[in-house]
Amino acid sequence: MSASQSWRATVGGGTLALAAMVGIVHGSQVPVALDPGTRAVVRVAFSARPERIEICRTLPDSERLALPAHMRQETACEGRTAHYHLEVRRDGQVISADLLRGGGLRSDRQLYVFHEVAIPRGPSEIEVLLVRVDSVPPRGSAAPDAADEARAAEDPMRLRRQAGEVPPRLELRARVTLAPREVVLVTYDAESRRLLAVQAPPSP
Amino acid sequence: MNAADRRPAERAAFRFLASFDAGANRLYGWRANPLYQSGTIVVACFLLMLLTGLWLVLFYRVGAPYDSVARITGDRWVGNWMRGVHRYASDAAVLATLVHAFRMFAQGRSWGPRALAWVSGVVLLGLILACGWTGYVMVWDTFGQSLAREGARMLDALPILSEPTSRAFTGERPLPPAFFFLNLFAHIGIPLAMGIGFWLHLSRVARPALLPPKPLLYGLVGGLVLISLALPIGMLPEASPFHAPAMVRLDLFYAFWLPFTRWLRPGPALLLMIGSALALLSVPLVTRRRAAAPPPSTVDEDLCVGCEQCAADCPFEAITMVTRPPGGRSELVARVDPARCVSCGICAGSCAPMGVGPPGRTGRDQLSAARAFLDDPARRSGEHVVICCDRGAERWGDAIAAEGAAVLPVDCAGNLHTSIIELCVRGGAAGVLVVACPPRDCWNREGPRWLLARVYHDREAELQARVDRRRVRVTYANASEATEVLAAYRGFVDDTRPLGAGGADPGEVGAECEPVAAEEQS
Repeated sequence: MSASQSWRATVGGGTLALAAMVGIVHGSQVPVALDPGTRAVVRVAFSARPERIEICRTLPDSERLALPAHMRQETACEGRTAHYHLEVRRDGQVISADLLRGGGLRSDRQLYVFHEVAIPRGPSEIEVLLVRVDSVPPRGSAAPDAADEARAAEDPMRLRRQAGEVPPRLELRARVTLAPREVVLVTYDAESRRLLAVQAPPSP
Repeated sequence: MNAADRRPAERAAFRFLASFDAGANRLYGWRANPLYQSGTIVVACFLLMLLTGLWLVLFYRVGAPYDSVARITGDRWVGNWMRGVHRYASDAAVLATLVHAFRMFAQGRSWGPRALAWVSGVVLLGLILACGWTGYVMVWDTFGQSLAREGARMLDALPILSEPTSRAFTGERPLPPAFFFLNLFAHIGIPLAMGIGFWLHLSRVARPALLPPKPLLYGLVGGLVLISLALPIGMLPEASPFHAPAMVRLDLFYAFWLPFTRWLRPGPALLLMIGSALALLSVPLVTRRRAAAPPPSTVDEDLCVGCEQCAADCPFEAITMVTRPPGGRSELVARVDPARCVSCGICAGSCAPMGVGPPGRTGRDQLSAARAFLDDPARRSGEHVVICCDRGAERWGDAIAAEGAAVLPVDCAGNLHTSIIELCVRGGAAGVLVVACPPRDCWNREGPRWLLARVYHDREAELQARVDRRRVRVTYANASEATEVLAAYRGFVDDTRPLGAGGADPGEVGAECEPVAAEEQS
């Protein structure tokens, strides 16, 4: 290779290497519009314990004594978790609806809700409605069983569980004004047992 | 490998690759051609990532991920360029991995005993991408959030989790430091797993090259530092669950898929990812030769003198020396492991008594073919013989022949037995020009290296001293370097013209390689 060829190769090689490096830098930060629109988002996300639909019966002594000592309870309950209807409306129009059931293969775990719906930016009235679909037999109110109180006393866990269940009907109505790509989160507060609309805290 | 046995896609890929190789050879020379060094560049980038990563992790806080990265980035003296080198080295690693994989595909080096290297390479690529994914999530800027949310969305398509992982990013509650701790753990743990992957990847090759040659290594490191200083890395806005970013600066090397999968439902997006991975993993099946695979080398135990040269030269550690039963001609005899042998034929060139090699391509077979070539009535005394591989002959063989050369194509110049060169010279050739692939481009890894050592440095199965070295030359060129080969040929002809025709009886050459002669050597 002559001197001039060598010089040309050095310059060309250096230029190409530099171009490759610059290409890596640019390829490393390519601006892409992942959310190109100007719409806002209603995000409904929460978990809540569904009501349990149970049929309880008092165990006869013979059946109870057949059980291991640590499993001998007055009542045995069998059942499943309730299903719920979730509906999201904007300015009166239904924009999302779903039938919710408990998580897990046996649907016996919490309700896990995650829905995102795009809506136009600007002011909106958002309504979220969560309604139990199944009817649940009244718990010891209409025709109280004589053993109800005793059973309740022996099963505080069941009572605690019932206290943590989502109410049969929840409703949220909120007026929000959303900027483009802003998100309003609708979630469930287990302590106050109601739905809440949460927006980003204002920038400092 | 027979060129005709390759599929059209492989042939097209090879032509494309060879053209790029030729261009890069002109600019950098074959020693520093970065396309030849794609595998070692990945390792160099990996080490660079480890070094810079160790420094960065000292200042990273799982309790304040964004703020700590912003503080690192704000440090103009060290932090900024250190982070830049870490990031750009990871990008370069992906790029070099893709070049490396394409190279193996185009050269048909992805199947048979090489399938393990291919599969482990694909797994390593997956680990690199996963590691980059966790690295970007660590920053917890808008890009990291997009990656995390998209990953969670696809994960939720699997029917194994009752609670959607996407809920972690909804804003119901702040992301716990445990999430970033786990992410950091994965970011550090994945490279450790990659160590096993590298070991598997290289487990079937002897003397693997791990780092590029020094000029290229220094150029790579210097270039990455320079570019990190010249184009300092910045910070994207912090992730927020309540604002979807209008524009995200994507690292296309790691998130090229993101713009596509976002428009798909989670299930199809996940299937697309899994399908792509399976397609890459199945390349060894797809590229398997339609005809029967080239058979592995065999050893003629009657000829083997137990010199161990073939075991030393085998680039795939497929030959071991075992104790021969009593009464044999030597204590040891070579044994080929067919599961490791890729039928490269390097052993054929390393065996002085011509007792080992793939069937039909041993030294003896080469000798027979060369004799037939020289016996061709078209041959003239004083011709120049050009020995090159099939691929080269296919591309520029006619051009060389048009210059008056007698072209002798062989399967691979790297497994050429030196007796062939001697046979040609003693058969009257004015000179023998062996055109081999550049050493780092050898399909059979170490062919040109051993060829050169046999011709010029007395490595076993050496070219005999009686052969006039002025009549022999070894040059390197790839299949697209016709101009370079022609120039080399013309230069060789000019240099050997004063020597006139070679001579002596070519029939003597075969006798040199009879077992008796080999025994004398031992």
